Amino acid sequence: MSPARLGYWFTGYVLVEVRGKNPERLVNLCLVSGFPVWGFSADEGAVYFYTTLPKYRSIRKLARKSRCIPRIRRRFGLPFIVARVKKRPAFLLMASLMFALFVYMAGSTWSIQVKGNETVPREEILKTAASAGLVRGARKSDISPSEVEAAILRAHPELTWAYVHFQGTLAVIEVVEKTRPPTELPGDVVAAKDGVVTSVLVLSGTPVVVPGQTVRAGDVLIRGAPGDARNGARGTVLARTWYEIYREVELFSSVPVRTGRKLEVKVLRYRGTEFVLGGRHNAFEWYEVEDYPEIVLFEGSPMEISVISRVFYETAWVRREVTEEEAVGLAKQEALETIERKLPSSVKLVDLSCETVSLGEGVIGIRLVLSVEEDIALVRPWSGREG
Amino acid sequence: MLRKIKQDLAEILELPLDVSLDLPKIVIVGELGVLIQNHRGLIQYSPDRIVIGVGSGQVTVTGDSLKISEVNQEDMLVRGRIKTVQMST
Repeated sequence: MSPARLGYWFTGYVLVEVRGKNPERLVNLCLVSGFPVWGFSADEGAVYFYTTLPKYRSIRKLARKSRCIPRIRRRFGLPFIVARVKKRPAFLLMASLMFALFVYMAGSTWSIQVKGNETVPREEILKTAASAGLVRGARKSDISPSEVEAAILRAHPELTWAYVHFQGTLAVIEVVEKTRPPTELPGDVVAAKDGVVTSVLVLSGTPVVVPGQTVRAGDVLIRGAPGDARNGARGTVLARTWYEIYREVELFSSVPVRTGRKLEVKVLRYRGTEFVLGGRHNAFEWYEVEDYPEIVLFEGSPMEISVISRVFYETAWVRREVTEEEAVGLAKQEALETIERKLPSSVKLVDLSCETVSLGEGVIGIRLVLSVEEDIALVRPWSGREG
Repeated sequence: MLRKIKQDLAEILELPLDVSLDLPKIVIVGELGVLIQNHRGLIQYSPDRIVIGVGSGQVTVTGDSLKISEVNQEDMLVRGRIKTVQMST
């Protein structure tokens, strides 16, 4: 609807049926008079058009001049709606009541959600929130989120943070529970794994190993003083340890190579949702895809709209020979990544040795031995003879 | 004679002929619509035939379900399934 037509909706407009000998003359008279008329259509012996309500009276005068009979067939716009509503006071009353009820209900809390609790029961949190005024059916304006948060934190010392907010008629209580450090019972420091001790740092207790000494998993490294719970051994024992990784690697690999065939689709992206505007959908079994932004509106804002040209490139797998050096290099890289994933970052790689074994046509076995320096100290609590 | 002089003068001065000679300008949009500019009013209107007066004659549009969707003193836009547009002087 054009702005002018929207204006006509506010003043009201009508569909006029004109019958008579010469309805075309009436149309011409309207045009000469500059009346707003539009949307002409014709039927058997009649012409229909739209005009504004204020001009309809003037058109009746012109109709007499052109010997036509105009009649209103349909009415559109606000004045007619208001007139209809005025005739139905009960409808107006009910609509007003429904609106008032809707506003009232939208201002209430209809459900409460608790998030983030693991050990504190949901019911306990809800009970505390209810004591601070947050119950089902309560008016949102009567609830102070900060007071509810303070009440929850006061009542549950095991919680460290609480946040109360509303999503429409849903009240959300988000909590974070305190994380307590694991309670460490006193005991001796023992070796967590086999290794050769490189340095010993004693915080409490008596060291029983020296640098250069080979230890096995479970050997005592620092001894505490049994009989006094406060005198458990503590310390850091760095030792050189070994990890062995074995991989079988094929001396060829398959790499994707673009064949030159491609398909392009236009995609409209709005708030993470994509709509395909046109173009052929991907029909390749193996392909690489690249996006090329073409139009970006409201860039960086949550309302960002972008039109993307998405190109699917068909690929084919091509067999490629791999040299033994490349295979070993890849295996080493993989081994280091595995070690980095498995061990803490404090572990230092000291040495990496590699041994290859030929297993037949196109396959080699690679044995990697990683020598690292790490803390092998582990507190083993005294059992049955604690102080 | 006067018309011929006007036409020659308009061509020498490179003025648009429709403006200088008060001629109708007709734009046909495929079979979907006809825009007639500088018309002189509606002569006959039925769903399959519309006759529109222009300065030197009349334009007849035939087709099916013809409607005049926009009209003012200058322009008239006919929509529908257009079959023929004929100009007669």
